[in-house]
Amino acid sequence: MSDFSILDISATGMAVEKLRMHLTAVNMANVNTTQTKAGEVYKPLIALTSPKQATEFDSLLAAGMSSENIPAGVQVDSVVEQNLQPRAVYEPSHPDADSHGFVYYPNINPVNEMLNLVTITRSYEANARAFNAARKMMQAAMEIGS
Amino acid sequence: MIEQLASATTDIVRAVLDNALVRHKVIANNIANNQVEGYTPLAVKFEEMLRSELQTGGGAATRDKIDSVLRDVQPQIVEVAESAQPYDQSSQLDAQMSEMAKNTLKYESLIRATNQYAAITKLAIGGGNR
Repeated sequence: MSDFSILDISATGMAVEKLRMHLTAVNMANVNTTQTKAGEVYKPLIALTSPKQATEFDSLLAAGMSSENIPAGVQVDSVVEQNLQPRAVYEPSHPDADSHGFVYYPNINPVNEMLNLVTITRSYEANARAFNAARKMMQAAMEIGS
Repeated sequence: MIEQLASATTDIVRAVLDNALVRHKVIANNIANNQVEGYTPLAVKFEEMLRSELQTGGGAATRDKIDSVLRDVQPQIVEVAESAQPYDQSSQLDAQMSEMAKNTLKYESLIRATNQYAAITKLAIGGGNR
């Protein structure tokens, strides 16, 4: 069981957390975007993730284990727009105001987004640590008999 | 046949080292999926199975018995049962991190022990001359 997929698992974790971080940054940057190209108010994005399924080759390598439990990391299923009710602000002079003078801003809660940022950072660090631990173990194995 | 070069100890140690890599894989997977809703953490069963298999029948484990046990006992990846994890999502990461540290230390100490074992054998081959 000395295949390098041991490092790939942590790599998928880091990649997914990076995407989450990216989406959070995009959401924060668009906190005041009242009009997207589609002509609507900006809708915050969120990534939907699930455990990654092992490939057939991995399953063959792990012969003897029950196939649905082979660890292969994490994957992003899709990036979707959150269906949040926009926040209406009365600003009659704003070019995007409707006939009643209301401008619709995305309902992004900066506190929530900052909290997400902290969770994502910690999660990324945990994955990086797992990666380093695997590397240390592999290096130790190369010292056998020296 | 030089006893030390293919002893039961080295065979068992090798099996446990291989298992440590499987366990690391599982822990890394749990860490990678720690933000996934509805994910059930995985765990590895091996050492306890190995121990109970080696103890069945009683008496000293013969070489043949150890060989057959090592052939039959393979690491099992199981889902952690709901009742066995009273942690919430956030503290689960801590548990996995400490589990990982434990596993890495165990792996490194076994490697060190293997090296010591090899050093002793080398000393014997050299007739005690360093």
